[in-house]
Amino acid sequence: MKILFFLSIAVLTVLSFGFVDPNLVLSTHPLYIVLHSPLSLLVYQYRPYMAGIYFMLVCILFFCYIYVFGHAETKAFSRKKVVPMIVVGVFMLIFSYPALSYDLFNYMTTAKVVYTHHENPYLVMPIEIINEPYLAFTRAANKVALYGPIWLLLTYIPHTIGNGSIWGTIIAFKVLNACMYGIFAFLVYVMTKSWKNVLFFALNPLILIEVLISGHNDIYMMVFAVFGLYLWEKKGIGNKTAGIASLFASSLIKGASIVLLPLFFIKNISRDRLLMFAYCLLAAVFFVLAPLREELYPWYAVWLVSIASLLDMQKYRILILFTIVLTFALELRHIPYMWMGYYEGPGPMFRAIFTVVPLGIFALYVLVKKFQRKVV
Amino acid sequence: MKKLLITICIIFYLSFIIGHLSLIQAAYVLPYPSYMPGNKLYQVSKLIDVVKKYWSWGNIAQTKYQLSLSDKYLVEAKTLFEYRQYLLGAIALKRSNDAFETLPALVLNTRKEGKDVTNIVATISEAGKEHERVLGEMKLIIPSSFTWSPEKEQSTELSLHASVDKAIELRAVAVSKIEAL
Repeated sequence: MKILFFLSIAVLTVLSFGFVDPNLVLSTHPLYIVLHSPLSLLVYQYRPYMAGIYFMLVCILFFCYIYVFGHAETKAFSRKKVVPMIVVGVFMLIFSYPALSYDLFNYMTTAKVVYTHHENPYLVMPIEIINEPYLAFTRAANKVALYGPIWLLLTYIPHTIGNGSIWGTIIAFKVLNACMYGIFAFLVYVMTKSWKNVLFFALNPLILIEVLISGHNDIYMMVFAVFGLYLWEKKGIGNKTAGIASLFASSLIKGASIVLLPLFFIKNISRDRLLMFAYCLLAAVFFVLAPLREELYPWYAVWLVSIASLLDMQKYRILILFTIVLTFALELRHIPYMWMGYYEGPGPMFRAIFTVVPLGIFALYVLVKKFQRKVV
Repeated sequence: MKKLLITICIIFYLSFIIGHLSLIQAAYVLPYPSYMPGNKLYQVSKLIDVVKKYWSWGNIAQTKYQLSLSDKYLVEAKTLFEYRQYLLGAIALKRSNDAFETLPALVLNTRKEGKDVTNIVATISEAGKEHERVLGEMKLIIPSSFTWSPEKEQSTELSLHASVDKAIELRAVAVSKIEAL
């Protein structure tokens, strides 16, 4: 199982380099060029094959995930044995190319607008600095900054460490993401004292792909939001103030977590109920507001996986299973673009089918199980 | 039938041409008038302008801010002149001039930072032309001079045509400085 997991992560990491934007030269080293050419050919010329390979890799990763999650309490997957596996996996993924989304490049370009060009990114779009070389491979260059000021402050770290090197900055962003991933996994352990909960979060392929490969910033928002909830539960006005401040900081990274604010004012409520409310509120933003604004992006599910990982896995079994199926369905949404090379046309319909079919099958499974129980 | 077909073709052709001409004409559009002096929210809008000045950090942001401020006060001056509020109109025109005058230095600083200013220069040139057109129209509706004599206060002599001429010249000089960069 471990070999299968590592193998699929390694293949995913290598294949990710096929997605390097044609306008971006990561290295001029002859070895890189020799290795990159066939990968690029596969991604851009043999799209259906690439989509098929990606589908298989996602299936393998989910199979490994469900298997390890199901055997979390056995000796074979004890903490001592799985932690090194996760650390090595994360290390490999840090060096992958952000293949499935251009968001990391948007973060990098926005950071450059602020810290190199000294312009207010909420007023000046990257495209207004027409000689900015990053424009060649940035997709949302015609938009002002989409995220809050705390996010801009955080991007100072990778921007500075990257020191003008594109590859260096990508890695610096990924390392920071990996740190946030580690902090969140630790937070799950501190709050639940359950290894199974940690595995539910840490090995989820959507988390691995969207946080560690694509480098989305949703994990930052969730670290601050959940840390806020954790502090809020503690006694003392200092903890409660810090809890609210942490949630506020979270919403200044990405606005979605502001919906959690009312939870801080509900008295005498158990953690599980509080988390259920949090899940429902974030699910409402995810399923209703996000598609209204743009579309159902897979990485938004990082919010739901993060909250679900704090729940009692046995008590909320159906919700946990639903979250796993949802993450699987969402990762399939990358396939239509991978296959066709454009988002429009039949793309939205295929994305909807890829999302609805697994969830429909899951709903049917739940109904059948309920019916069987009633008959017995 | 033949006539109808020819008529449709001519209409289609003309609508295409007119549509394109109107696109070219709308290269630079001034804003609608905002709150006018005397409105309760006028002071608030001025306060917001001050806040925006500090929020617009960075040379490109500041250039956009000063140009938008110049546009806003130019439209305000025109509206006030149309309502024969000459003193207030002259004050608004001076504010518009002050904002426009800052543009050459800002563009120069932007260029010094290594940023390509081609688009900014083009925008300011277009803005300058539009301002000159509006100022020309303004001159037609105002007297060459006007004595503003409020109750219980000293009267003020306003050389309105001279102010407008000065505003046109100021813009021409600023635009030529920017284009020469």
